[in-house]
Order: sequence, then structure tokens, then C-alpha cells
Amino acid sequence: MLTINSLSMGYGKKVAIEDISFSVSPGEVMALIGPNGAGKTTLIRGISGILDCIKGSITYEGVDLLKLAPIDRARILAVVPQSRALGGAFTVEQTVMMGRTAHMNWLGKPGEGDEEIVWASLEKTNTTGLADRRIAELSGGEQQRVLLARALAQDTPLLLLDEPTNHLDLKHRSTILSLVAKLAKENNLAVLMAIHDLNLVSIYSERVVLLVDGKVKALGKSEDVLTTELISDAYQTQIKVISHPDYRVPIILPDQELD
Amino acid sequence: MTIVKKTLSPLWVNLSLLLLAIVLNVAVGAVFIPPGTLLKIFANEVFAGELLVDWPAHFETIIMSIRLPHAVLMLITGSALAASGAAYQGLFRNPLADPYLIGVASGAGLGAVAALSIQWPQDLAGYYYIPIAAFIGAVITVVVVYNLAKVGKMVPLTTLILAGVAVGAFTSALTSFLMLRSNEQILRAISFLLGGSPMAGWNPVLAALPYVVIGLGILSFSGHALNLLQFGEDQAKQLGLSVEKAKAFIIIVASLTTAVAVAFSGVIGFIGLIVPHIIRMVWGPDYRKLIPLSILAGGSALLIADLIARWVLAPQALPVGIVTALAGAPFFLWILRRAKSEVFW
Repeated sequence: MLTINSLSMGYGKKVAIEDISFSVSPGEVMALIGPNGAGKTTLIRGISGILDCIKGSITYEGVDLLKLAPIDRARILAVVPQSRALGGAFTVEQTVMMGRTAHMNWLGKPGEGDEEIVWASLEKTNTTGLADRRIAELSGGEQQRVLLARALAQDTPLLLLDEPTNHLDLKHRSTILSLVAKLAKENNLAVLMAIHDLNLVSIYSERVVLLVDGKVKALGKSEDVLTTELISDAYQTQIKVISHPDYRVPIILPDQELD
Repeated sequence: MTIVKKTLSPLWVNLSLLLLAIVLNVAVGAVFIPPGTLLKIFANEVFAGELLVDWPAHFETIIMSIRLPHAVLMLITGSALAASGAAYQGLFRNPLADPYLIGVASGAGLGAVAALSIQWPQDLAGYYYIPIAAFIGAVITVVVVYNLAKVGKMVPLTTLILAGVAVGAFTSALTSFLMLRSNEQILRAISFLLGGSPMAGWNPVLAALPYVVIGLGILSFSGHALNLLQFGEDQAKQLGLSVEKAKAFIIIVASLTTAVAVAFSGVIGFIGLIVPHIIRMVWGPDYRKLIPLSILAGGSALLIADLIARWVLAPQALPVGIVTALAGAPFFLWILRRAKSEVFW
């Protein structure tokens, strides 16, 4: 279980997220929502060890992740980042192999077991056919799946995703999220995912953290957090919540009057 | 290009080119020595005189005490510049990073000239101080340029080159000032700064070799870290790299390697830019291969440039830095044009 306990983090002394506490269980997909600038990406980066910790702790099975060296942390926690177009010259296979860094020696020479895990990760994310293509040649949806494959190759019990549906069309959004939900169940991963699209949240995740101004505003099941009052207030806009005709989960609609 | 890539092992291609470059470089000069004779003289040296000597005795002197040490110095200089160029490019994630363009070579030159203006080396021990002075100059420069060029967490192409040019001009001015003060050595120093390599014989080679071997050895093993850094510092760290340590380590080793090259061969531009770029185009971006291949190809490139420098106005030899600049500057502009639209970086 990933446990975040009264965590405050920032850049140097400047506080970006304050007094955050929640936990994510194995097999669970936890969604992290909130308006732009609420600190979703900051929290994801913080948990992955990139920000300075001001107060609090992040533990997994009693181990404080922030006290670990990057290589040890990378064996427990993998991140699917938002930024693209980096390392574009590498092939998909080379990129996914870099997920094995924490399990290889410092020369980065892969062993047989590494090859196996890389191909299994490609298989799971349906990217085997892309193995020889360069990252820069891929579409946004393909790149996102490759980055997910790389995170899976890290073979960690914890998985963080930073807005995996950004820039994706309708089909690719559902594809990637159902894949994440399936992997969480099958591999018993604890998943924390920052996400903008609230309607996908209620379908693909069990629980939701609502972040506003760097603080937790609400935490719980999606039908308890995705309410007219909480969401209207957090996003500073009028919304209406209806129930999905098939899945009986909350669906958010804009409810702004025309000028 | 594709045929070369698919059918030939990159290691053998580059090793063969290097051997060819060495033989050509040593064969050509005021006295032409046929490659066949050359190989026999080498063999004779290795097997301690078991062959029938059928060449003039002075051939041996020309080769063993003049041309071969010069060729070896060019080889290790080219290797050092190309490998550190590749490392800087990976570190700054910038295709135009080159020890010369980012001012590191000028900084090393300042350090070396400062040491030379105090005392021109009299013996082998004297030679050992020059790379240390050059190293100090190089590290100070790279830290200053890096911090000037940094915008947020990125080092953009434009600011890197601007900072490199500005700091390079400043250190070059200081170097000129030093040279004008020590007027008896001015000619030697000017020639030195153009890559004229005024130092001859085996002493500079012996002094440079330990630093270069260590530096290139370490850079060859930094390939995986550089690969990770191509995905940005955040991702590199999330994948398990101790980013700050790795960066500091690679900067120091690359600067040391540059400094040694500059200390004994002067400021030679563009080798560190052109060579890794060509290797990357042919054999891909993997730094675990790119650095060792740049070491081999950098040696070949500078040996050929040196050959041209000695041949164009023979018997007068041009400073080799002029040849690399004449070939390299147009290449630089070509990369600059490509870099604007280049997605594979």
C-alpha cells in the first residue's frame, strides 16, 4: 500500500502542495483530479522524488520512498510522464528497455530476463508491432502506450500516471484507461493517475482525490466526490451531474448560462 | 548509408578507417615513405630488428621520432575532442554542443597558455602541469556557460551557443593579453591556439596519454546514463539515474578530456561537432555505441585533417585548426538548418 502522510512539498522553500494525506491499495486505480494549477502534476512529480520535501512522508510497505536513492525508488515506483517528444531518436524497443535501468548494472547491458520483460510489456500494451519504430515517428496515442510499456518494464508495485489521456482522441482515451484498469487488477498494482477528463474518472477508477490549491479538498468514491457542489466549487464553474444510463456512474455536464 | 549500416560492423568500419588514416598520415610528408616500407619499419620495431633492412636509415628516424609521435598525438586529440563533444551533446541535449563552440576549449586554452606563459615545459614533468591548468580553465568555463545558458531546467540551443561565444570571446581575449605580455613566446602561442601543435616528439604524447585513456575509458562507460538523459532529467531520475551525480561526473570527465587535447594540440574546432553527428546519422543515437565509435572516428578525422594541413602548402604546414574550421563551419551551418526541423533530437 502506498501511504502519503501529511505531505508538503515545493521548490526549495516555496510550498506547492500542502498537507496531503491519502493511501492507494494494491489493485486499485485512484484518480487525482482538480482544476489547472491545483498541483496534480506537482504531486505526481513529488511522489516520484523530483521535488523537495518540506514535511511528511511517502511510504510503501513501511519504506520511506523519499529517503531512497533514485535506483532503489525506481524498483518500487514507475511513472508514465506527460512530456513527449523527448528521446525521439530512440526506437520503441530501446526506450522500453530503459525501463529496466534499475534492474541492470551501470553499463546498461540487458540480460536475457530483461529482454523477456521488455517484450512482455510491449505485448501487454499492444506495441509489439512498433518495436523498431522511432519514438518521434509515433502518434500521441502510440507514444503514450510506449511510455506505459516502459513503466511496466520497470516491474514495480506502484504506478503513477500524469494525465495519460491528454492530447488523445476518444478511442485512445478509453483504450489506455481500460488497459491501465486491467493491468491494475491483473498485476495487483497500486495506481495513482492525474487526469482531467472527469467522465473517464468515474468509469475507470474506484476512488478519487480532489485537489484544489495544492490541498486535498475531497477524497472518496467517485459518486461522493463528483457532486454538483464539490465540482462546481472546485472548478469555479456551474456544472450538472447526471447518471450514466448504463454504468450508473456520475457524468459531469457543463451548466453555464449563455451570456 | 543503409547498406553500410546493415552489412558492416560499425566497429570494423571505424577501426579500418583509423588504420588507413594512421598509415596515410605517417606516409605523407616532405619525404614520401611508401606504405609498404612503412609497415616493414613498424614490423621491424615490434619484432626488434628481425627483418632485412632495405630502406634508408633516416626513414626510421623520421617515422619513429617525428611522424609517429605526431600522428599518435593527433589521434588521441581527435578521439578526445569527438568523445567529449558527443558527451556534451548528450548532456545538454543539444546537437550543437562542441568543446569549441561552447567555449570549453577556449577556457582550456586560457589555462594552458597561462601555464605556458609562466614556464615553457623543459622536461616531461613540466608537460604534466599543462593539462591540469587547462582542466581548471575548462571546468570553470563549462560551469559558467552552462549556468548562463540555462533557462529554467532546459539548455536551449540559442542561449547555449550565445553563452559559449561570449565566454569563448572573453577567455580568448584574456589569452591574447597573456600572450602579448610574454612576447618572446608569442609566435609559439599563436600557432598553438590555432591548433598548430608546436610540441613535437614523444613527451607530449606520454604526458597526455594517461589522462586521455582514463577520460575516454570513463566516457565510454557513460553511455547508458547519457541515453537516459535524452528523456529529460525528470524521467532519467524516475528511471533510476542519480541525475545530479551523473551530470557532474560526465561534465568533469568530458572537460578533463577536452583540456588534455587542448593542452597538447591547441584549440581545434568542429571535430567534436562533426564526428559524433555523422556517427549518429549512420548508426543511431545509442550513446553506448556512439561514444566508442566517436573515439575511433575522431582519431581518423583529425589524422586526415592533419594530413591535409601538412600537404596543402607543403613544405609549409598549416595549423590543423584552420583545416577543421574550413571543413567544419559549413557543416555547422548545415546542422543548424537541420536542427530547426529535426525531430530526432
